[in-house]
Amino acid sequence: MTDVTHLDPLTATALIAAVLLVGAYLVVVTDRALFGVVAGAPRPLRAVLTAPAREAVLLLRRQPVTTEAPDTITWVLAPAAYLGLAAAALAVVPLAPGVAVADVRTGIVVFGAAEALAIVAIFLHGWSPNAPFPLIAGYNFVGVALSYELLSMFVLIAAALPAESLSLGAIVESQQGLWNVVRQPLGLPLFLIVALGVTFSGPLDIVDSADMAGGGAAEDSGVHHLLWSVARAAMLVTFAAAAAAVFLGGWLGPLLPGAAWMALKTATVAFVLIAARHLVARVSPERFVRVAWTVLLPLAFLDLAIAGVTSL
Amino acid sequence: MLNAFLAGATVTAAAILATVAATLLARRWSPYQSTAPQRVPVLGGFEPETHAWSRFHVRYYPMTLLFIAFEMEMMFMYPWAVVFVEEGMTALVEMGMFLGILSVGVVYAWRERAFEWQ
Amino acid sequence: MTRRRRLLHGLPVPVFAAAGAGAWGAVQELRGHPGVRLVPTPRWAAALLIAGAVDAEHLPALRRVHDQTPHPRTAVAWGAGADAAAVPVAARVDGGTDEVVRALRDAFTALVDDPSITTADLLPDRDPNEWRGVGPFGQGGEGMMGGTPYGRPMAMTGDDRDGLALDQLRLTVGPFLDALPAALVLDVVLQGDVLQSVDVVAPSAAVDDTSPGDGRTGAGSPAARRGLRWLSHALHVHGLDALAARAAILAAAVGAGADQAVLSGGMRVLHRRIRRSGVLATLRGVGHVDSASPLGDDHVRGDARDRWVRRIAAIDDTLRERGQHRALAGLPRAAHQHLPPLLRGATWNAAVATIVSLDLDATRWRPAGVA
Repeated sequence: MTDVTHLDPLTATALIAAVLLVGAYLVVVTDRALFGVVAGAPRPLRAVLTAPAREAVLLLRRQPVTTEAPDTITWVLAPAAYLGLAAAALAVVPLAPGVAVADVRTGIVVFGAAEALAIVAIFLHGWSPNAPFPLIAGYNFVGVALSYELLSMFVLIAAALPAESLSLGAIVESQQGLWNVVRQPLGLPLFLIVALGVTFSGPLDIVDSADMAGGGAAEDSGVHHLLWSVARAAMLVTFAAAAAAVFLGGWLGPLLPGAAWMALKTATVAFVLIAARHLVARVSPERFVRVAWTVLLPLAFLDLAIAGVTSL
Repeated sequence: MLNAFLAGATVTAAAILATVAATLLARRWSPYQSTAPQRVPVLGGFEPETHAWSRFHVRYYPMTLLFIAFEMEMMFMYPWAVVFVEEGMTALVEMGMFLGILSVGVVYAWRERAFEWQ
Repeated sequence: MTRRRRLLHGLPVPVFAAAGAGAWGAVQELRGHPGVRLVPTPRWAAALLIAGAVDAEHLPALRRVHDQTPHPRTAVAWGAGADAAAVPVAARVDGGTDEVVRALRDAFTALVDDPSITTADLLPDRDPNEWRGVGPFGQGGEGMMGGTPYGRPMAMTGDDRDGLALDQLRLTVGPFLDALPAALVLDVVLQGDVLQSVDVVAPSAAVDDTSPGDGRTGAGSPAARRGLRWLSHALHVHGLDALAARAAILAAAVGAGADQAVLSGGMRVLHRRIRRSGVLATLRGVGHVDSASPLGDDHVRGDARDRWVRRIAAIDDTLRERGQHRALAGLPRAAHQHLPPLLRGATWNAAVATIVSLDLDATRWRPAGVA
């Protein structure tokens, strides 16, 4: 196993902050650019590249309104927790050969825990303003989230089987012969569904949906709205990086340095997720729960069986 | 290994603290106060009659019980995944039996319409 | 400070549209305009757009929506009859989409340059109920669930069909909700997210059929334009904002009298994207109207998916000038009253999808020559 240089806390913070902020910026830029392309009216490049900064400045100058009897502590903590969990999950993903913030032996467990706690953060975000639509959106989201949570666990464990370890660094190394997307073909599509759910975008945009006046974020304005959007974009970066590491071979690849390959693969997965946001319609929560338990879960079992048989 | 957890924890704590600080500072420095009509929840123009917090009828509560069963099974799968290759076929068969038993639970829930809300 | 202000000048203005019934369609065409961004909640908006004539009984709701918009805020009134006396506006516009977008951008720029021109609250700064100091703990409550803690009572229980008696949320979902057609007010009782009962609060007076922004009638068919505006709103409600923008651009092109080949080509691309987005699959089985229902005209029968397919085909045919279609015509005026049995027992998402698929705003507008 490659010697992993674990970074000291300060360098680690700087690295994760850089990756998340640059990644979030690129996610927002790609989102605006793709919106224009799909709408048939592409936006000028300069407008798209400066859009995140401008929108941030606008939101910071707006009044952060409160509601009548909110739970202020959770309202402030929800985007913080969401962003913190994105950072924690990114910490266990190996970003370059030998470079990882915290490539612990139980990386998948940490990742799964971050994902599960993200459910709590998103629910609390809807619950805290004490307003009807955000509350309903939050409860709907929990139902959907519990359904895709299992898919993510099964799929990650299936990827851990050939690596004989729960560490994401070991999983990357186990793909030196063949990437997991080839030998466990069901894994990546299921993981992408999970990524869409955790970042509540595209078909699984249950919690911030337009049919509930903006859902959980209906009462957010100003800095609350800004930080929630930043946290959501950061979580998308984290899940794209995890997908790249677990299924697309991470930093493995010829010619280019490992970090460049990692960046390239993360960008590809992020692009697919953002494209899904604009091209796929939102599903009904009830139907998704039914499909997840009756169709997707058996597929996850199948993925596990394939992984088990091919690893022996 | 302790270094790794320390680094990971620091990163998480830094993200949380930075966000909380940004939120609280922006709220304090905002020159506007929320007045009573501003604080009314958004419903399209009328006021809600009651608080939103209530004993909410969560329609998917049977599904959550099934989820807990699978979560406990997950806990067993984590160490199982690490020793799988050296244990060989027996490990696969045993986990298959475990998952099969749990799948009966899924089929039962499906028949009992736990996945339908309407 | 000046540089930061100039940074904001080019930004698309976040606008919340509070539309009267006659102007709902025209507002949807703004989705295709890059200068503004229609947002689903007033909290995200910097400017309020009051389009068309708002019913007199909805004016208090309009004032409340205006107050819910965070500072700094501004307002623009669009169209003849837009009642500016209810809300102080920065500009009154009569004209097409371009004019109103220009007015919104000017108002937004003025607001960015000088945030102190933000409009004051229209409703009094009073708690809904007296609660400070009331009750044994000073928070306004009494006993377990009584009184008005922090200003409002707690939700009370009610029976549910599966035997549990949990709390019910009674809401009046207002005339200016982004997902619902304009001027539709529903009194809903929700348990969880399933509607226990629905009452439509009937709008009182008839409204003129004029729609602002229809100024220039080119060679395009008004029926197709109306259908595309509906499609734009429906796609937005289902999360496909980019495709909604595409439909809105197409609607504007119809209004501007674009070439028929261009229009049908654009419609073909849009139709393909809609099919591939899976929205029709999510609508299967939602909001089934059978022939026995009083709503059961031919073009309303079936589930939401049937209505979408019918209406998209009708728009396509109208653009290719293959004749007028009933599917694009209006529903009878009393259609509002037949909603409750259709929505009872549905989840909120399904209820909104049903209402959107019925195209209720058509009750206000009838194309010429169709009864």
